[in-house]
Amino acid sequence: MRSLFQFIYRFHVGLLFLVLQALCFYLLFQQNNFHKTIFINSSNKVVSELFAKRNNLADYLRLDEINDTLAWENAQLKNRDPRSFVKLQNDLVMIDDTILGRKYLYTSAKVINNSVNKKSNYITLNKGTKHGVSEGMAVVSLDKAVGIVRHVSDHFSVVLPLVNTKFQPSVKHKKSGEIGVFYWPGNRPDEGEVHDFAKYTVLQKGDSIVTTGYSSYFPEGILIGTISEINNDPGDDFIQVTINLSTQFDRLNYVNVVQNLMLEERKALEDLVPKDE
Amino acid sequence: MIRVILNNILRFVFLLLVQALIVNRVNILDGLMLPFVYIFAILMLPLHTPRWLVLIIAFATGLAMDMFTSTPGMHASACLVMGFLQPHVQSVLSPREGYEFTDKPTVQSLGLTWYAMFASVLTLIHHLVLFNIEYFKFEGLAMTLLTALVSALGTLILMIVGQYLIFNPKKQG
Repeated sequence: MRSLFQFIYRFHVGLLFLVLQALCFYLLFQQNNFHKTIFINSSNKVVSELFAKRNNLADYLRLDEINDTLAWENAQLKNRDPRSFVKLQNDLVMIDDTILGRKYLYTSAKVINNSVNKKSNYITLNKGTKHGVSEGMAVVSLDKAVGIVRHVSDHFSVVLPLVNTKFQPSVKHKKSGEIGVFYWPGNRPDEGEVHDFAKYTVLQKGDSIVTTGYSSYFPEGILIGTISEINNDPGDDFIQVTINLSTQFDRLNYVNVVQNLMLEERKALEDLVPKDE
Repeated sequence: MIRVILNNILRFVFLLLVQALIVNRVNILDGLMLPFVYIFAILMLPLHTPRWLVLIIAFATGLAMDMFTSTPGMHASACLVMGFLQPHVQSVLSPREGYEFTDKPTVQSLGLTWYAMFASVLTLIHHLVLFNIEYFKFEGLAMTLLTALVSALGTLILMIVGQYLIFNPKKQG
């Protein structure tokens, strides 16, 4: 026993180093289990308050740009306003009916922290569970895909954006409907890759790549990017393309969090099917 | 003694805020240069700090940084490796008679050559560990190494210039 204590005393620095390093690696590799690490991410209160303060300050310097975006969005909404339509036929009357049910609900949120220069970038938003945001919801900006909500606290949330090497959603070539897998190689915030398009797919530069709607979070057909380069290697079984991302990740101001109101119904139905079938 | 502890705590908070709120947001050379100046808080620990304390402070510093970047364990791990090697680097670089009690790990106290050696070795170690943990693949190894090298250079420049700006040479004299 005594020699054990002596051993510990003699190598206490090395042992301490190993114990702490083991703790680090434990934290690193249980990241998928996100409830446990909730206190070491930027949705915790102190950190997000700080980010919010800093953003308040920085926003004054960017008011021009924010105004432009808001004005543009306003114009888009005005276009959809019934008052900007003229009745062309008098014999048709619209009755408030039950044919349309709301499926997606949008909540606007402000980006209070954002990075694009790392491999694992995250975005912090100023909306949390109190505003109806929950894990897994889609985030869009000007109807273009941004990412999905990864962690939430009462007033803040952290988003896993497309510009993170860990996020690989399935995507669709809009014209042909072929499915591929999106991947961000990690060096440029405006460029991504899509792998695994079937060999027979007819692809052209400038074609749109959109979300599938298979993953229950993103609405179908949200724009991700446009094809900039096609890599059709004859020796390969699949076609790989490089795309220009439509969202400007380095200048996000306001985004919309999308809530799928029919998600629970769909999940409940899908859960009826046994997993091994 | 209390003054030394207080100074170190203030420096820690200040550097963490500068790193998280300003430096992390700056995009230099298309994301190739990502300086991490917060490690200056560990480099500035007094020369005779017990090794176990250096380790614990390094771990805490890394973990605090991780909170800002939502990367649990990443900065903490890199800081630990640096904190573990820091006393070794100091003893390798020590003058023949050993360090005076009044010596501080700064440019003003031990000279630019000593400081450049000391800081560049440790900064490089920290950045190499950090970027390799972040990417964790062999594919882009050359790119990862290049990013680490360029970033370490940026960190060093910021730290050395910062010292000339903050410390008053007459007061240190």
